Amino acid sequence: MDVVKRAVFFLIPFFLIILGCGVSSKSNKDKNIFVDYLSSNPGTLDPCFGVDVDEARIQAKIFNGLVRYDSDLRIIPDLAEGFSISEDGKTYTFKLRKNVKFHSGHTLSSADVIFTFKRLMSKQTASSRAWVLDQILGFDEFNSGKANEIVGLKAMDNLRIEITLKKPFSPFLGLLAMPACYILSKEKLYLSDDSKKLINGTGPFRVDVWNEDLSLDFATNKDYFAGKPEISGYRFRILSQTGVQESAFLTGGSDILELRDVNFNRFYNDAKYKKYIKTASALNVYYIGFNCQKKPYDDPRLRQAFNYAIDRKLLLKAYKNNQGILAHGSIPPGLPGYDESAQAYLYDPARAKKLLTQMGVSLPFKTSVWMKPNQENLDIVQAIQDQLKKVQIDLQIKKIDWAMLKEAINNGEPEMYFLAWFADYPDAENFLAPLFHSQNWGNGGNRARFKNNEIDALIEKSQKELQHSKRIAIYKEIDKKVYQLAPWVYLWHESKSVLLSPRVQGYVQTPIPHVLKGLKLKLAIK
Amino acid sequence: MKVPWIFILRRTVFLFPVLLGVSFIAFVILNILPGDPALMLVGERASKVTLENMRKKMGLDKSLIQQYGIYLKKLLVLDLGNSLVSREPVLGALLKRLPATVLLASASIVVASLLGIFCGTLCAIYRGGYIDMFLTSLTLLGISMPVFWVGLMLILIFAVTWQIFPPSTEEVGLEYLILPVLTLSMRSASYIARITRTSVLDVLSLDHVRTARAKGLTPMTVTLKHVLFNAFIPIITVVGLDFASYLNGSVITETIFNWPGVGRYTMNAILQRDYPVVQGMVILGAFVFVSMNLLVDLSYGILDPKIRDDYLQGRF
Repeated sequence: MDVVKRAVFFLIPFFLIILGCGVSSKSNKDKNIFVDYLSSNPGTLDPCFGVDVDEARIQAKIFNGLVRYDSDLRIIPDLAEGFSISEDGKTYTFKLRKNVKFHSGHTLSSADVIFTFKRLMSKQTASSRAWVLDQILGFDEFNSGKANEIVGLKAMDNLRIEITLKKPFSPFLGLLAMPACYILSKEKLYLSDDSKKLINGTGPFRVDVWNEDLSLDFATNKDYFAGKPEISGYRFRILSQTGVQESAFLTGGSDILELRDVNFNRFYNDAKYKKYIKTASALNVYYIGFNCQKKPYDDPRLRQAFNYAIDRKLLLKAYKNNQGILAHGSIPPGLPGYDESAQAYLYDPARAKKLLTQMGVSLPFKTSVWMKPNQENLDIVQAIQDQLKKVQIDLQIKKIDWAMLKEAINNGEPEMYFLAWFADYPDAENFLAPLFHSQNWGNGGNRARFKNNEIDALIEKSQKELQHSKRIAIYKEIDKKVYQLAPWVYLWHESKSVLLSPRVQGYVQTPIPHVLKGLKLKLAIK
Repeated sequence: MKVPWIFILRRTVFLFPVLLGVSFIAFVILNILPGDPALMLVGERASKVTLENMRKKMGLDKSLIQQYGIYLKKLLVLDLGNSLVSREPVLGALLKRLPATVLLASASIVVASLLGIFCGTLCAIYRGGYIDMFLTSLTLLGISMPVFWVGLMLILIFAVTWQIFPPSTEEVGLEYLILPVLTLSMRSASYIARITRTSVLDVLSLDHVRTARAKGLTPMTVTLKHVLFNAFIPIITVVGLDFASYLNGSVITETIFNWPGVGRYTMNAILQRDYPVVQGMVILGAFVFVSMNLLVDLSYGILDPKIRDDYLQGRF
């Protein structure tokens, strides 16, 4: 047994070292740094190239736009002290705040704004967000490289900018509040000459260290024009998997956890956690779209029959823990234009069957729905498949990779498809024009290939209407009319919940992520 | 000791057709997949002109063969293209993450080899006894448990319940290395133990071992010098292949423990459809595998004089 004894003597110190290393594990609980997380390394911090929600959350901390949304989704001045709109609705004049400093120490001027917008619109930049400014007069010529200047973009003096549009476009201010329009420094785009990662901005936090794949650390901007943040730093850890995110939260490695369908109930039903859950509408709509140009789906009665035949209330409860609101239009709650009192298709299989009989379709009616192979959504569609059997609709499910699905839908191949739409900017127009204007078939957003001259005219009218209340009334009218024609099976608007660490104070859950600047966050430190 | 240069040269030359084949397969598969990389870059709402400009810039307007030609030309100067997500050069991005993967892979293979060889030898020496039965059952368990499950259990027990180790990596350091190393090495250690047991048993029955014992050498000397050394060839094959696969990034382990290596990077690239990164990783992976196989073959020469002679005299 000599060998065994020697081995034991060798192994004991080995395990002691391992345990020693473990116990010294760090904790963030004693630091005044808010620890958030991202599911993947941000592709870029440059607002020109940002595409996803996470990048928008980060950029909101580093930069400011001319205007921004507050937590009630009202547009308020940000770097602009104020703005005015000409009577014809085509000219916007912005006056910048004085003495706003970039993280590099440079002072903001109208040259920075012109530089930022030109960079976003230029052909060389080839930004996927150039469309945000495509309403500006001269955009097309500049973006295609035919012109060197943009006719509709002028610096009046050091602090005043004038923007002229091609035609009145009421959601324009909302577009300017998007991260793509965050103002960059013309003098010093990056804080360090050797790293293109440390980008320069005017926001409440500045990029401090970016350890790719691990964390992105922000230090506070002491000279922030709206006052210094309460916390001393903001950290985004890169935690790519739901399990990793949850275990980090449970062990004090992060201060926030985004709840999903799989873990919502577990935390919600636990009194220890329930009071720390914050929920807000997430500005989206889930739907099953029809190809409204294909026969017999071009008949609204068939599409309405589907809406009556599906028990959405049951599905929302069973699969989404009631974390959302049944849709009775495409505009989600939280946006002006959402009509709480609108009439919805209630679950009525008898009526669905009657509509099918009226149309004279031969039963059982065979159809198919195309979708991404995502298990959560597959469960829902399988339940829908069962419900449709009751009205003699035989639904086949076709699971297909996202890239192929998108291409097929844009080419008008599937008769039905399961999709969702998330707001680009928080204006109801974003839930109407891209989705239902006939100019936007396919890639533009109108994947249902819906075409209705009256709706097209109303959408165009709403875009020109500058008076807020009148515009909202038109939005409601459009939403109602489209809903009656049922280009989709309207499912629901999902809300989003987060679980906070008990030490977090002043966190507001908002429908769009880039509203949060992190200024009012406080941490109770033991 | 003489170095078998002709053998090394011949195997190195063979590396090129292998890499060429791999690059062709990776290129074709990723290019026939649906989805337009140019559209990914410019976004869905971009105008047709912008999209066409990007397609031209990326060379997507050319035929597949022409595109492959351009790709190969770039490959010769080690240009694997740019990531679609971060827009940084793929080779740089992979090399940046390689040290973390090498650290995890090396630590895991060292732990797995030490544990595996030690347990395997014990089993062989005490063949049929309680130690053998216990350790053989343990290795069976080690082989049967899926890596992701072992990782999750270790997190649940050591990180969430007892809070001894952190569940996910915040920086590359020892405290964050232990759980992933245990996860990764458990399965390997079990394989190595089983191979070692069989291999040592074969050697134990040979005449030279009996002679060594008869000379009055201690059991430790007999085991280490006369048994293990001669039993190493099958063991080194398993260790080499496992090490190569760890070096290619242990996708599951790195993802579960948030380890910032090439495995997790590739996983994210797959999820984000970052084709140039996936393509680059396939080529790098093939290179690592072929090189590791060469090293394993060379190590046979060091361990076995007969094989060394074959190499030196060109009998391979």
